[in-house]
Amino acid sequence: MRRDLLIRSAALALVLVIVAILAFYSPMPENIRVLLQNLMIYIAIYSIFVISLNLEVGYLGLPQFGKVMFLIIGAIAVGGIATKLVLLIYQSYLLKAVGIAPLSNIGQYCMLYQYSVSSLVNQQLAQNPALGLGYFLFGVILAMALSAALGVIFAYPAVRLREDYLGILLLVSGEFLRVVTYYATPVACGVNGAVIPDPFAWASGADRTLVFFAVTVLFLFATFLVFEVVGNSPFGRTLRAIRDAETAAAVFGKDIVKFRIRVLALASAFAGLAGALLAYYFDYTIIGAYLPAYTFIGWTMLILGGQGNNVGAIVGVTVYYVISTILNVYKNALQAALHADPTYLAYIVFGLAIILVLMYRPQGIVPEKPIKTIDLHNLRRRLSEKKD
Amino acid sequence: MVIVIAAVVAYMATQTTQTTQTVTIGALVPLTGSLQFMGTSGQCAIKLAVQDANKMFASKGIQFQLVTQDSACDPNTALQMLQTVYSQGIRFVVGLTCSSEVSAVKNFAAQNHIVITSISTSPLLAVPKPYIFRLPPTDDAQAQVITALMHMLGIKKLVIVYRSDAWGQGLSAAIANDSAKYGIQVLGVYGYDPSPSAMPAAEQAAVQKASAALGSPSPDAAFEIVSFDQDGAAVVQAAMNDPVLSKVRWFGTDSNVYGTADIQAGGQALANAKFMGAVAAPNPNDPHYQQFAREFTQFCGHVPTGYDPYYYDTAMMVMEAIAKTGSTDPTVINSVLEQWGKNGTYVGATGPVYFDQYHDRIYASYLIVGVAIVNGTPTWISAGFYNGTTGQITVFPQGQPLFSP
Repeated sequence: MRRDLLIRSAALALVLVIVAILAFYSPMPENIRVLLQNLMIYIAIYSIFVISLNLEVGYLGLPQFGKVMFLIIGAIAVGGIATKLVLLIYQSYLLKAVGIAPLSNIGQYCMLYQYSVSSLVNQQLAQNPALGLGYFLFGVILAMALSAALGVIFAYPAVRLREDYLGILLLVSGEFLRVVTYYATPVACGVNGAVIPDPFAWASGADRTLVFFAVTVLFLFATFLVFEVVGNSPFGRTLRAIRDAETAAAVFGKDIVKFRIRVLALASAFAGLAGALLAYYFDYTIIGAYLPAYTFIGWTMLILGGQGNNVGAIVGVTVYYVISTILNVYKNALQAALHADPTYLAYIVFGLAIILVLMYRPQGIVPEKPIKTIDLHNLRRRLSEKKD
Repeated sequence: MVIVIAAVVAYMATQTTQTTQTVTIGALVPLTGSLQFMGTSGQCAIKLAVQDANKMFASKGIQFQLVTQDSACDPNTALQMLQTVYSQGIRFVVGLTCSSEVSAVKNFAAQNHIVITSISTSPLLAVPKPYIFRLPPTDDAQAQVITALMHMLGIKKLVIVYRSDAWGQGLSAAIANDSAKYGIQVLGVYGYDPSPSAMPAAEQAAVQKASAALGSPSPDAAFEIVSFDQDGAAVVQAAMNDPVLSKVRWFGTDSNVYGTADIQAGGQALANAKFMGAVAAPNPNDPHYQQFAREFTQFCGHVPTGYDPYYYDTAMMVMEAIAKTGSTDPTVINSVLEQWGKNGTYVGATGPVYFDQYHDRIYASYLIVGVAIVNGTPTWISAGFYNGTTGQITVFPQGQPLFSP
């Protein structure tokens, strides 16, 4: 098992290094390199998101229809809380420079002064990379902690219920959180959206993209390792047992509710990490944009890639982004050829892809493999060695 | 897999750069989502601009072609689409609609030298934004016109109902601020959730609150509706049945004047309330606008609404700069647009375009549009004109009844 984990981790690391070299140092035209660089950042962030969804859906069979909630929490942690902490640190400086204390007049700040303030804060952070890093890590850790806690709190009332009720509750929870926080200006500047100071302001232009890419890829690698270890541990095997035969697992003494709560907490924390990374990447976030469609895009990626294994989750995200980018590039050419409006082409293509995959290859592109544990012969040998 | 994608996209990029006489313009407009109605009409205006430019500049050997992407009024999607069109070698992107989208693409545009022309109006973006130009004036300018109009009509008490998004919140706050300058007392400002799922209950609740705040009708009282067309229709329906609001004057914005849903929902009530709103536009007698309106109606099959002339100008101004300078270097075009913005060199469907230091439109004039009964049918009419340079309001003969007490 350890050998498999090592092989998979090494393979992922190798792919990521090759991709980094291609995207940043290959002699391709600059516009293509820029596209690849940003595409890889999206793929890395959404891979974290979908790997966490995979633990819930692929390993445990939990109907997680409220996954977008954790992108929202990540956005709130960064745009609503970490940003305010930085504003608090520079409060007196900002009062002198702009003539407004942002935290004392949040409405005016959100509507008029966010960019002026953010620009000044970026100048300060550029001179203090350590503070920038602290602010970044604070946002990320906060997003993970809040997501873990809120993931459990929101699901708790229905965690004992059947899958369909839990699914509905999670779906509603995501929408509830979005609507409530979007119309509350103090949370993350409400309908104006929150402008987020750049934690990597010391790097500019392509360097900033490279730094962000490196950080995101590191987080993806760490996420992959964590979920591989969890998925192949006795805990992971119990999750699969619950997914395949819930009653049988309960008969063997497994506490289904406890496992659901643990999975929700762990997966939500990492989905919150994806939300935080997305907010930092854009330097801006508006909670109203996080519609339930984000959840179902995650599901689409997972169904395409293959459930119950983390490699499938990453493959699903990559395939989704590759197809959607190609569609976007060739959409206009297709319009001329087909004389049809291509606006909904991506929806049609992915809708068809899901139907076809579910009909002809329900296991996805990368199927789930049997769990490798220590074989019986080795186990007996070790036990006898122990006795001796 | 990554190598294959890179190779395919690289081949495609070579294809686009080989055609030296053809300049590709990108359009990022919301073809899905909450502002789909604006985006689809705006896309038509941009297509018309490309067609016009190809006729106008054919002699210079330049042909423009358009690549349209759906930004969905979603900042995340907008940035991804901008990155996609950038990979296709496109350096001029027009029509960006939502302020949140402009916020999301701002850094990428500056970093990669992409000239963007937008119809965003949020005062939040009145900041230095290299390579981004906003064709409509900010909401602060519109608020000045609306409050000047109210002052001219002797309004002293006001209630406002607005759609709770960045645009609605910004504009209603600006109207409330400017009202104070004229001594108009704002008795209440009430937002509603503009999402279709909340309609019409959210609008009704906001209207009820506004009615309660106003208390009783009087000739110096007014009701300001800060909405778009579809959600505005729900506000109109709620207000026309309200015993207080149905007896006072109503005012609108650039986004609900010319609205078909509004007039279908309560055209008679709008006429009774002497409804008027202001839309940034040149004088309707301006030959540029008249030509645009004629061509647009023929090309798109309906009369232009609020932002259509702006969508047209977002594209035409850039194409004219490219054709007249013969340059497709975004840095050169950025400087040209800045220079033109200082001198008012470009005169388009929305009149002469001047930009301030933040690349935002200034000195915009506004057409005052109202509802009157024409041949027994509620109809949008041009009631007056606000001169952006002098600040004077001129009342047109057909608009006289709307200005009478």
